[in-house]
Parts: sequence; structure tokens; C-alpha cells
Amino acid sequence: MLEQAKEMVARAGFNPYRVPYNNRDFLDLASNNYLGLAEDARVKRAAIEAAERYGASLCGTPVASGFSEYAQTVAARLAGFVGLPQALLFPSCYQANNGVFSALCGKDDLILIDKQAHSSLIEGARAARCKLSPFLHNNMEHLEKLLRRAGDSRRVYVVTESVFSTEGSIAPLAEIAALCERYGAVPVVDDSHGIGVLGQNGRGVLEHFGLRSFRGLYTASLGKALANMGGMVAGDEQTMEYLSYLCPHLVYSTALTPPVLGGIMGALDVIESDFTQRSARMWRYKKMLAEVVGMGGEAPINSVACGRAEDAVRLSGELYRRGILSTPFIEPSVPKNACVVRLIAGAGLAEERVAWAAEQLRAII
Amino acid sequence: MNTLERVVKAILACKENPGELTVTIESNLREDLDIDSLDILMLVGELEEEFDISINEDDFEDVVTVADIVAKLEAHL
Repeated sequence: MLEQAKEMVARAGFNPYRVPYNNRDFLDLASNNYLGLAEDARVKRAAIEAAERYGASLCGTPVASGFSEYAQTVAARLAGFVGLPQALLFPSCYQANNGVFSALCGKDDLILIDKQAHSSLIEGARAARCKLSPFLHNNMEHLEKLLRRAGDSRRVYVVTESVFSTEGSIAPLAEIAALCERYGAVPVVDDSHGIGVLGQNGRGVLEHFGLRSFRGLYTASLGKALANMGGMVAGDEQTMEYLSYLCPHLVYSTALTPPVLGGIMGALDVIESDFTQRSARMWRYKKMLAEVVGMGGEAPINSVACGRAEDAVRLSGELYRRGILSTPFIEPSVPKNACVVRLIAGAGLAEERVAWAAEQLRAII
Repeated sequence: MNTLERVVKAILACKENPGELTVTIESNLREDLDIDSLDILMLVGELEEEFDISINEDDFEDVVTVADIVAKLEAHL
């Protein structure tokens, strides 16, 4: 596979796996900095103050010196922000998604997972070593068929993402939650591209769908709209307590550092004060690009459908040469011949630069 | 329906746009039908329902063509 990737890069004339850039020379439409919080002075100051107060690192796992009162405060605030009883902080959402299923699932359980779910969820589900059945993307009829068939399983989990990050579709989570309620299954949603983005106040997919009594598992990256790093898992107290003892991906990993914890708190403060204006800009930029690329999903993500991997990489290379960073998605991240180049215009960008990017795209596509 | 027809039915049930697909006994699962390792899991579920049997997913690790699936099922039935 490495040789195939190298050959494809040679044919396309661009290597998306090694893209040197500096902020000054490029318009960044590749990053997930949806609200522009990564460069917000208040977020940076909160990170610096936390480092000065608590140190550069806790140098320990959450069961040792890594579980500070401050970490507990941040976790509690995140749980409240998304509307769930309790949360745990992981070094990354990839790690969280990889770990939760192995910790929670037994061999007699069943995981039903959206076919286009993120690889972290798929790999996490595979690692659980229970039966795994994908369902057709966002297809509730197919999901219900599988749920009806699942009678012999001890427990059934239905796994999806809130926002599918390659094309920007939003999972029908309210319907999924209703189906889970009807069939006694546990919904699991990765809201990495929804937290800080969806909902009237940016509180994510649960707010977006008005799901006030979500009885499932919630995970999210803290490195996208929240402009820091790490991941969170949230849900009921009993499950969170179980994971805090028995999820090795949490127990044996160094806890998030104080600057990251401070940055998360700073980001939440800014979201609570500035979300409406930033969100409006983000959606305006999405619309500006959607008018050119045509493939506008429901989320503030624009994708150019390219077909072959080589064409996606070539387009990304052409954008790079014009001073625009973008993200090509090729197999296995997307189905074969369904490769795309994704563009996310965060609220921190200047409108005239986004307009310029739209012109560049119009000239190329 | 014979075994091949039922296998085709199960394959089409795993596709978002089944009308665009032509499935024959020689079809290569990956090259012709774009069936990856995750799709195989979906297909196993459809075959279990279609044939009312239980299938060990590990038994399907080496299938390459539709003919391979038909052969495995006929050996099982």
C-alpha cells in the first residue's frame, strides 16, 4: 500500500502527506478551526495562565498524578456544555473511540455502525471482538432491519458520527435515538465536527436535535472547533465511572496538560460569549464556497467531488500552488472513486480572503 | 431462486445504489463490486438472513469472487 501511495503521489505531482507551509503564505481551508478560536487572544491567554499556574504537564495518568481538581472542573464543564451528566478527558478522540468499545463490549454484544463512520470508530469497534455489522450510510430503514434481527445479542450499540466530515452530511440522530429507545439499543455518537459548530449555542449535535435526555455515549474531539487537543467521552455516571477504572486507553495514558485544559476553558468562554457572530460568519463562508463547488453538505464543510484519488490529490496540489491549503480524502478514508477535496472556511478568516479563494476555485474547477 | 441469485440479492442489499451494479458469478468483490472488508461484514449479515444460517466471519476472509461465496454457501448448506 505504501508503494501505491508513493506512485499515486508521483503521478499527481503533489504529496499531501508532507505539506510544508507557514501561516503567512497560505489561506488555510484545511484546518478544523471552525470558529477561529485557535488564534483568539483570550484562548491563548487562558492556556498560558494555566501553564503558569499548574505547570507544563501533570506528567501522570488520570489514575495517578494526572487527575487534578482542575481537570475535574474542565471535564464537568464540558459535560454540562454538551448536556450530559459526566465526562472523561482522553489524550485524543481517536484514542477514546478506540478504547470505549473494548472496555464496554463483551463477546455477546453487537455493534451496528454507519458504513461511513470515522476509522477511529470502526477500528475501535473491530477491537471489541464482538459481532460488528455496518449499516448503509444514514439509512434508517436498513438500521431498523438490523435492529430487528439483533434479538439474540446481549447488548446492541448503534454507532455514528454527528457530522460526516468528508461530505458534511448530518446523521439523523433523533431518529437513531428513537430507534435505540424502541429496540433497547445504546446510541453512540462521535460529535467531533459538531461540538462548537451545531446547535443554536454551539453545544453540538444534542442541542441541534433538542435531545435533552440522550441515553447513550457521546465522544468528541477537543481539537477542532474547540481549538485545543484531546478528546472527551460523556454519558451517565455509572458508565463514566466504569471507563475511568477499566478503559486502558484512559488509565495508561498521560493526562491532558494544563495549557490544554486552560485552552479548553478559554474556548468555552469565548463560545459562550461570541458564538452567534462567529457562527454566522462560518455559515456565510460555507455558502460562498458552496456557490462554486456545488457539493454543499448540511454542515459548514464544502467538498469538491473528484472521483479518482489522483485527481483529488492533483486538485489539492493546484490549490497549494495558488496558496490555499485543502484536504484531499482518498481511499480508504472514502469509498473507491469517491475521492473529494474538503474545504473548511473558519470564522477567523477575513471575508475578502474567502472571496478570493472562491475565485481561485472557480478558475480551477 | 438458486444460490447465485440469492447471493446477488444479498450483495445488492448492501449497496446504496444497487441499480448501478452488474453482478455475475465471476465478479471480483473488490475490483468489480467495490466491496471492502467492512462491506463483507454487512454481506455476511445479509447472507445469514437470506439463507437462515450462522456464518463465521473468519470463514469469509479469503473470498475474492462471487463464485467463492457461492461455493462456500453450497458447501455449508
